Amino acid sequence: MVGIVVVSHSAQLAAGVAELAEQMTQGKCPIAVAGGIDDPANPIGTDPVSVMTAIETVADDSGVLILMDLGSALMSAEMAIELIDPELAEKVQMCAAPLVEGTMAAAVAAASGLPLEAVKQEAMGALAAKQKHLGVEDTSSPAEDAGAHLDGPALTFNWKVLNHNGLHARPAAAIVGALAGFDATVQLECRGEKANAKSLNAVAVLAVRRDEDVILHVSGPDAQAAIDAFARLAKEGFGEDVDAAPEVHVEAEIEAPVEAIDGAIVGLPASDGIAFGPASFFTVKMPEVPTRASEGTDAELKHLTNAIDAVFEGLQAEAAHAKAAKDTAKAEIFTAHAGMLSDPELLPRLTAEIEAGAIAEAAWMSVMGTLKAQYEASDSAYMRERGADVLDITRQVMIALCGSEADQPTIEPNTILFAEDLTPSDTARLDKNTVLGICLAGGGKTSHSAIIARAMGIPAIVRATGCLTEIKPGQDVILDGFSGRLWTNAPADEREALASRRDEWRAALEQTKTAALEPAVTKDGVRYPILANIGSFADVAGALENGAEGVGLLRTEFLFQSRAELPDEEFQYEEYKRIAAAFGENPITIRTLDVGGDKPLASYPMAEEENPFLGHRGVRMCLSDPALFKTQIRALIRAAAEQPNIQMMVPMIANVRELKAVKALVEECRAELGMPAETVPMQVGIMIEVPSAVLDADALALEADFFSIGTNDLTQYVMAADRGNPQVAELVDYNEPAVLKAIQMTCEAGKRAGIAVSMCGEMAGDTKVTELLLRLGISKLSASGSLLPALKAKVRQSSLA
Amino acid sequence: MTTIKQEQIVTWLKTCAEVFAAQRDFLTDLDKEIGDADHGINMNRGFEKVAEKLPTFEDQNIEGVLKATGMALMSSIGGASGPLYGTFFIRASAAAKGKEELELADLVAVLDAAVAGVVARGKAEPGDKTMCDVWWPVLEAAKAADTLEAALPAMVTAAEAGVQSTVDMQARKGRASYLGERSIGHQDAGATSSMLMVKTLKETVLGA
Repeated sequence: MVGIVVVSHSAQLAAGVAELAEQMTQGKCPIAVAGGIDDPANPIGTDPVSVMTAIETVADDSGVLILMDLGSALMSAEMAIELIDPELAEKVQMCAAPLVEGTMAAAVAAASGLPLEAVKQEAMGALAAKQKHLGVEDTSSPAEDAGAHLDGPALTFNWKVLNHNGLHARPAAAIVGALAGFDATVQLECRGEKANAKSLNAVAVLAVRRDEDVILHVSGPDAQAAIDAFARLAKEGFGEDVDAAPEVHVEAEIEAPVEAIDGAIVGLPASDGIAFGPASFFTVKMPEVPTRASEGTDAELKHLTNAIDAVFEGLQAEAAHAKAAKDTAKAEIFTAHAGMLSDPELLPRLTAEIEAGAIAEAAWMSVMGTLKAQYEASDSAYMRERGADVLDITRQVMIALCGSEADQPTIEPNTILFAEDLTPSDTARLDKNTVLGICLAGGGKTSHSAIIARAMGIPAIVRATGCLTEIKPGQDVILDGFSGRLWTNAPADEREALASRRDEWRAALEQTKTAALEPAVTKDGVRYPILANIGSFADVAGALENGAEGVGLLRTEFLFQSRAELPDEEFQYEEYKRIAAAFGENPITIRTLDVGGDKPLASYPMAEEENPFLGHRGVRMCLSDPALFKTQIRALIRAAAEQPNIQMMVPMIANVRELKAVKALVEECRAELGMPAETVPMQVGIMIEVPSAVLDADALALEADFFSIGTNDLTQYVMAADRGNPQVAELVDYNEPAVLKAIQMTCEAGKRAGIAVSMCGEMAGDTKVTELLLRLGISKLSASGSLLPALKAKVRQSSLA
Repeated sequence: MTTIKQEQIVTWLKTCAEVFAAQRDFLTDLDKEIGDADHGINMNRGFEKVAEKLPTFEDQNIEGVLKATGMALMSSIGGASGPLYGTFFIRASAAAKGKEELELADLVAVLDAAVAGVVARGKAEPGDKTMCDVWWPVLEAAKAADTLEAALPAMVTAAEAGVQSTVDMQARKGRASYLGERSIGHQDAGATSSMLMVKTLKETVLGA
């Protein structure tokens, strides 16, 4: 989903705009803000570094749209785009729309899954409603050219390229992006050479330089529209400011290490950290082209496309997996590789080779070898480093073709890895727990292997010339990723200094990690489990990093939202099992579907109600549609059979009758599955959020295995006030004595029946009331992952004695 | 004296920090008339940050010193001057590649790159009432001189004239542009801070 970044001089304005947008999208669209500066006395201003951080927070493959207020906000955003990883920068666009209207429109468009260009268009049109209301003519967008759409073979468009660095990666990507959707054949001609303008590789390799003339040739049904789009893009400098001076890379690389040091090989620092250990050599072999006769054009082509498809699917799966684990660096690289493989330009070239008599393996090596050479001949260091990416996919497809899976090298654990260069996929598959450091003779700071090493926290140096010939396998070395030095023979004092820096570095890493992961024990020695509220698998990594000791609330709505059809049992089962497995033996509490008139589902139309909060929602709706409910319950029981840490939690229970009905359905499902409670125990607890449940808590406690207080709804219902209504919102306060009394009554009932009472609402994460809650008798707290470290710290300060 | 030494660049930056601390209120007052009354605060904060970080990079060559200065200014100034002066120093750094000292030709090259960066970042044109109305004449003065001794005083004269020229201009960039004709008659704060930097450079190298 396209992410939105809001940049304002004022932190309050930025946060306010984001709040408005989030209200419209119910938080579905990732929004990050960069507002104000870090100076409490004079907080108004903008900071490129915080814009950069904001971009990185919401970035995924769909791209990021930046909306800004004015003046320095624009310049800070531009500067931030220059500072981020160039591959990410290609997917970031600044939008000239007015901040408030533009952000609203963009967030809604992004939440409905539109691509970046469309999101930007929506934002640009955002003033229309206001202008119409006030009777102002919209003069900002010129009338569309009503030119007749021609069908014909030979439309052309001439243009002199003014971009400083010619059509390098970014403009090439803009061209491919603009033309990809048209039903037309598009070719870009320069110096008499033609390239498929829908192919990133082809356009990049054409290497159009500044002041060169290009001709776009278009044919097909969408020819005119494609020409128009290209012309528009050309006039906008292909997404670049052509009047701007050529970009200077802030992280300009030193061409060659200058000074030699006795006892060390000097390279470039690529990832912080210091490692002591024996050297091990990482060599990967490209499978050799076998000697065999061609099986004919069709058969060879089939071999090749099968292998390419298999690798492509693997890359997409890896990308999805990395994305789910919030590992953007890896996800982007795998996606980029999948993009290279699906380049439409490849197949015709491969076909030509095969038609000329080559076998699949030979055709592949020949075409990819040419492509790699073309990248490596580029004037831009960035493009040259992409040669490693070409080599990487070349090898993966070769392995698929030759079936030589066993060629994967094994790495000795606890060694420093030496190689000429590592392909990104090799680096991504390294185990950060066993690789102490990485030393490359080649590579560069912006090469993918360096980026991944940094993301994994493995110390690394690149361009350590001579490291492969001077070092023997097993030789003890010291790798200093801070200074880029590889010590082969460090003087004693240097060695000591390095050892103490390594210890400091490790201790700092350790401390950050452990504080969050340590249990929360009060001063008087009582341990309270602190759990996370999560909304999908994507939240798992964040929850664990923040020290979650299980999940107190997994909302299952994510499985049902944004899809045309209801999720089937198999799908739900896999998802529950996957999330539960991530938490080992710690409990994970899965709440059954909690939707209603106020939270509609595209896949499950519900009648509009006068009073949705008091209507057909939560368990009420589920009980009225046993087919829907039983699908979920069966998935839960099956998942619990493999993951005994799963508990089921039912929302909106108002009386004992409802709970008994739910338990009867659970029994029905158990019987159908042949999974009785004796063999597959699964606790069934309830949310306490309806006042009647508080008043009858003693009776409910006899039927329920646990209580979990949902303070958001409980507060609204106890106070009879809608928190979305600003005129009564003041009443919606969990510090109200009546709400506290309700919590106390629930805790007491739980205690009398001997069942646990936890809390999973907003109040659970509020450190101002933590001690009070523990005193009232809450035995577990569950809140958003990011709040957990502070919550644990608060528990550690508390004393209940 | 035929070159500007690395130590002089470091001293210049330290002195700039003192100058902007002393001129903080003056610059803010200028900005108050036609802007958002933060330029002095911003420049002071930015160069305070530079002075604070200097010990970590003052041993590097001129390229390194200028780059670290640019990075520090960029993320600490806060207003439009952050990206503008950040770009100025970072582009200057690239043009000073590997230098331990600057001859006149180097100084011209450094200024040329830095000014081009600022112009590109702010998209200013002559007469827009911006810091570029100081930097263009300063660059011309440096190009016209035969020696560094002649260049630096000429640059100061050009900078002061540049600042004066902004008084009669109507702002077309930044917050001041909202004032339209009412911006005429006031001296531009950004132009003034640029002039102060040029003046401080001359005084550092040639003495007051």
